[in-house]
Amino acid sequence: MSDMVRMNKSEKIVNTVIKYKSAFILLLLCVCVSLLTPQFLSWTNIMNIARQTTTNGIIAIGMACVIIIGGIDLSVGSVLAFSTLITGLLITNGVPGFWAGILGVLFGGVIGIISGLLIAELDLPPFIVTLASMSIFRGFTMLVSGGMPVSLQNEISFFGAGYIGSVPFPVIILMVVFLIMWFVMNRTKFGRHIYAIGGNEQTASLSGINVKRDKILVYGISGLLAALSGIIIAARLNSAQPDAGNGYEMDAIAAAVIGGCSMSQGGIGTMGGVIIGSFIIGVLNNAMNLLNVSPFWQTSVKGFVILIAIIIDRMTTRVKKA
Amino acid sequence: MSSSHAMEDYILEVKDIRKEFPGVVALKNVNLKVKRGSVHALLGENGAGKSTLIKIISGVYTQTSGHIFVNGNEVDKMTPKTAMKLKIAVIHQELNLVPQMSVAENVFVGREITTPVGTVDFKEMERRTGEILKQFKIELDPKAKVNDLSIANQQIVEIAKILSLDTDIIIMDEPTDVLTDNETEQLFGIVQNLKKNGKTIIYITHRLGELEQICDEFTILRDGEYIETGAIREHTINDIVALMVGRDLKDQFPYTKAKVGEEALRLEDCSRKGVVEHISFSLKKGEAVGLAGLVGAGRSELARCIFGADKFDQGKVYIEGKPVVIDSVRKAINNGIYYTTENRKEDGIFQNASVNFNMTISSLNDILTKNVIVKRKENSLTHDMKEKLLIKTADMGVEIKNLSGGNQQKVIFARALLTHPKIIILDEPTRGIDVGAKAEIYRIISDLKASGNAVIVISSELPELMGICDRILVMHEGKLNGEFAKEEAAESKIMQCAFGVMEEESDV
Repeated sequence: MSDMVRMNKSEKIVNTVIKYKSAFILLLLCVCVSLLTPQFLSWTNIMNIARQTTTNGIIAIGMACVIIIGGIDLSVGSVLAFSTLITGLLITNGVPGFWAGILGVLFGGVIGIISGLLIAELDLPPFIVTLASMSIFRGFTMLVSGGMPVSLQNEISFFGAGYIGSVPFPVIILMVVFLIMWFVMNRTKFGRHIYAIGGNEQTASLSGINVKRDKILVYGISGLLAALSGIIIAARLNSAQPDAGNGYEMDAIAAAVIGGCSMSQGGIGTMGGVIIGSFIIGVLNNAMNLLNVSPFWQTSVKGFVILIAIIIDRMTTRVKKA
Repeated sequence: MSSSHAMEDYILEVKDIRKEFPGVVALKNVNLKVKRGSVHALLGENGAGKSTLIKIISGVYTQTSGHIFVNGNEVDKMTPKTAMKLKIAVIHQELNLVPQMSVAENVFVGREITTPVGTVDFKEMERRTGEILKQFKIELDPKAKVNDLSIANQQIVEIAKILSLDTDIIIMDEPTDVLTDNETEQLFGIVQNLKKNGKTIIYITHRLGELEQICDEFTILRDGEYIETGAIREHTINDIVALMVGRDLKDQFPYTKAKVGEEALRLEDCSRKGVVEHISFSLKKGEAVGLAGLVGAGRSELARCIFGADKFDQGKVYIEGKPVVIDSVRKAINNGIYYTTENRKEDGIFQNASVNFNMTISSLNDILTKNVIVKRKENSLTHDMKEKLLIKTADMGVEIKNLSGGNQQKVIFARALLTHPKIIILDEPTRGIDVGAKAEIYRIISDLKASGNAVIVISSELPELMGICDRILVMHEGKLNGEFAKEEAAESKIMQCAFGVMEEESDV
């Protein structure tokens, strides 16, 4: 009898660790890195990591929603570049920076909605549709900009480089986006519907959920957040770069997966997990810079981390089953 | 053949098996003795421990204590590999086939026969598959694509696969659950042939009517405990049910006539091209109407149209006398209609989501305050449902896939009830669930009627329909082909009607 009780207790601990495994991995990573280099734990460095994580974090939140609904969005990097370019051109043509930024973000949302329409209404595979739009909008960006960066004329620098107290403004944007999306996913009908559609589209539709509309909206959110992320980068650099966001879809997918989203079945994943996932990538990048790891190695290490994350995920789900 | 001294010749003996999972004892002191060359039924309600026992016998789980003897020799540690060596194999409900491949390729999948050059020798595989099929008098073309086969024939491919391994003990887990009556007959024929060829079969089923037809002996488990073993011949079905449930199920179908009120639903000449034609009927509050018919007669399709998941091309639908156009599921729900599907797993539940999530997904508006989900409201609603429908789960936060089939079904019922429906369409509400849970489902249907709901029940089990419904409508090839009041419903008449052989009833 006492044996059983003990088992229950240790089982409980194991379950807690499994449930919050990405948080534990992040913690472990931080402890290891801070032992290797004391600089790591300085406030400036931590804020540095947070600011660098903003870009990927915001995109990853949108990506996670798409993955949870059972899809994928490869076009985020190109949408980011094109929307930023739109903002840049609007500023060049005299639109006030703030409004140019808002229009750029909305524009990203519209592109997302178009992808969503194709995916939901024509029942096309999301991988292919967003692969196509990734190519289309990268091309458009190059065509329109002629391959040259567009200056933002210091109109919105605060959004990228500003501080509130000692906290970089982009970090505050990330936190606000996270809180809003956490709320949407956990406390609204729409969020429930996203989980339901990802979990089982047939059941969702027979439960009275408007599957098509919600799918379209989710791709819209992904486009919107990608554009927001792009405008933050551009604001910091004070220019819209035509090659901005190249390959960002991979980091966003990685963050979502490390944070517990499943590529093989929808309906799984949390906003908290995704934020932690993007911070794991952020800390890793930062640590490798501090430790002077060669950039070539950095890329490979990131790949290994993704692999390890998914292996741990598989093993722990297996433990849970047995 | 060894079956001549069947009296003492046990091919498989399981003694005092105990299996503990963290916090739960799944099996305690379970015994099973299976005679060589017999068909042995393993019976029990869901959660009685049948699957755990099967997993121990096939080496998936290791018992906490107890012994397993195969051919009289004790097996030290059963693993899937030793099970295979000892010629034990399980045919699961979910088939393990590659649909794009041929029968022969599936039979030899993973052990392909190769030519001296190293390429796959399709001819030889087909020849050997043909031999196996012939030996057991199975008519199936080794070259046929599995994709093109019926579920029944796919199951047979699975059996052929096992036979090609020269298996002695074949465990079949609810094989007839997905089969039509004809297919079931065909499967029984094959089981008889297997038996004639000296194979031993452990047969798990919920369809007790099948026992007399093909089983020799039975063993009953209840709540993880061994209850009894006996010869089928010496027991009535009622005895067996009583042993399984642990109480006398005198009233298998708790029917009470409810107060019939005004008209709830009326269909006038409704059609959907190629699916249902000229359907007209009406349904009153407090009434349960059964929809009988063969698989493919258009019953579920009709239900889907009423529910707005599909659309009628023509015809009129009235709810409480008012004409309505229902072109989406949402609209149906808002009009007080709910439909629970026949395939729980495929389109009934969200497997990885919690019980709470599964229950409230169609009625989220009721747990909102200013568009925000209030967990407290949700918990109290779902808790009430849990009590009302006697749903067995320790925690409403667990993933629904951890619940038994019967409890999953009750959660879906709860989902329906939370939308406050006036008209409820239940498609195969008792498929794949055990006797005890079935009785509870019938009780719920009875309660629904009593509280003034109109209920449509679609079921392939005629006794069930005749037991619980006030009226039975029979469909044949997309048309309503007959109607029987409870008093005049007889199985033979309904079947004739379902097969389309009864002429005089054709105008409804």
